[in-house]
Amino acid sequence: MKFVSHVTSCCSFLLLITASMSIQAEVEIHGFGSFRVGAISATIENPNIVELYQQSGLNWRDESLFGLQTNIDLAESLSFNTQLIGKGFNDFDPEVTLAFVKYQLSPDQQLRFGRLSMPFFSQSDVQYVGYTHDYSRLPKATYWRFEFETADGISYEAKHTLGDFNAKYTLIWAEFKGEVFKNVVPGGLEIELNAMRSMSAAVGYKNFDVYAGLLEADANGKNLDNYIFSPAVQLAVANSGADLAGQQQFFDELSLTKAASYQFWGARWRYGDWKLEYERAIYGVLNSVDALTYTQYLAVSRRLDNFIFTLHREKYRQNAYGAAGITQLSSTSLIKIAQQISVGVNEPGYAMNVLSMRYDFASNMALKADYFRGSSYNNGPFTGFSIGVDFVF
Amino acid sequence: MFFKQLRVLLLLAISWPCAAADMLIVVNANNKSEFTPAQLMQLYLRKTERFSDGSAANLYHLPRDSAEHHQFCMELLNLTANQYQSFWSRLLFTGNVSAMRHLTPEQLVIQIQQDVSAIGYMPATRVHAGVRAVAILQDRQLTMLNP
Repeated sequence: MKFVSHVTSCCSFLLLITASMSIQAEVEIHGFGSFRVGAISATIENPNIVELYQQSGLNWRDESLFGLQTNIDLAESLSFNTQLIGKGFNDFDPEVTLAFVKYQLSPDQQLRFGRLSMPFFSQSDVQYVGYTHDYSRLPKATYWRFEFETADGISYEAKHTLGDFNAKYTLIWAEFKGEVFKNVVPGGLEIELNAMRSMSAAVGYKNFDVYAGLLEADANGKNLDNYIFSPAVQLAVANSGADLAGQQQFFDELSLTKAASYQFWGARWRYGDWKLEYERAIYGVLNSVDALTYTQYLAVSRRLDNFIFTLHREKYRQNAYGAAGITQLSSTSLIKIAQQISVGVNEPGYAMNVLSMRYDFASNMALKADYFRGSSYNNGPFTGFSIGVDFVF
Repeated sequence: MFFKQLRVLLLLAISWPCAAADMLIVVNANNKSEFTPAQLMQLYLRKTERFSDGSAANLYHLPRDSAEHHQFCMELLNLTANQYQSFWSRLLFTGNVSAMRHLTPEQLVIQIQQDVSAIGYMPATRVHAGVRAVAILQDRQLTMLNP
């Protein structure tokens, strides 16, 4: 992992060298951004909907962001790409989201090396480039923000066509080390996702596409374990009446230092002015206190000249009491303690319907607005709206 | 070559009243690849990045705001020019392509004549030396002109 990080650093250095020495490389600079204002109204002050306008009143920071990308052709088949994004919810502090060298093995095959976007879901690689999709925001139930959306590693991508059929698949091996839960714990908690192995594929026939992906990793969540197994929890376990073996089983079963798995699959169909899209995902740290997360959305879109209207339903669900680590426990008192922890670390979920509109009012600029209405399993119904502009240059 | 150009001219002559709306999809005259409607769509949607002979394909477009570009996007790809721009941005910001290359019709002809890997489209008003027309778009119908 250090090696990969060093290569990434070297690539950054190479970028500076290339720029400063004015090497005759073809350099393209592009950018993108979103400026969006929105609000949520609920029966309680903070309905704790996943990452959506958690403060009362109008919010403009939650979904506003700016990005800058450079593509440098170093040689005929070799290029270097970097991307910086400053997100409003993170005070627009720029972060390097992509930094990779791309080697084109053939027109339909490429290798990438460096900081890569990880395909947790079908559109993860453009999650923050709002201009590239028709939704006001990609369905939040699925497109949650992960701190480990990008990781350092190597990827291989290939495309094939046969008559009206086309296929594309990507293999990635990467590693991540960084802080998570920064909004919960000051400074965040460091975790490692080692040996991230991803395989994703898409097969298309004319205007119909199906896609799927699987990502597995060995999670090192010792700091998370220390956080959830607080002194108060340890005291409660010690006083639970369970024997030492049972207590040890409690910590082993609930530990987040386990294998993590992310799966998605879906389909997209375009017919005339209509588009239908469905995606489902299941993920979590297996056999731990982390309950598996189930997300899905179904969307139908209609194009009317430069307007695109999309109606979609999205759903997010975690069964805190059903976390696999809890089901392995035998002591009733320990199960109760585990359930309390699980309720604290898992999101109960929600479902909502969203009507969104995209209007391409100028070259490279789209006005988007949406109205959403849904219900949180714990906190009741809510409604909300947003309006904003997505652009690229 | 003569018969191929004659065939294109005949097609143009037959459809003369609506010739202004017709579009030729063209490659370099030395490009001997075969083309199918599916392959043209796959090339412009970057489902593949090579011609049938295995060589790389470089796509060229007429100006973004031109009626021809809008017509081409809609009739071949069933996308508005804005949707195609959105689609291309998706490829661009994932590091898969360079910016879309827009040329005037005159520049496009020169590019096609000089670059064996180039593919583009132009109004079907005349046939140019060094350019091979592989398909014609007429009233949303794509007719292949393979030899």
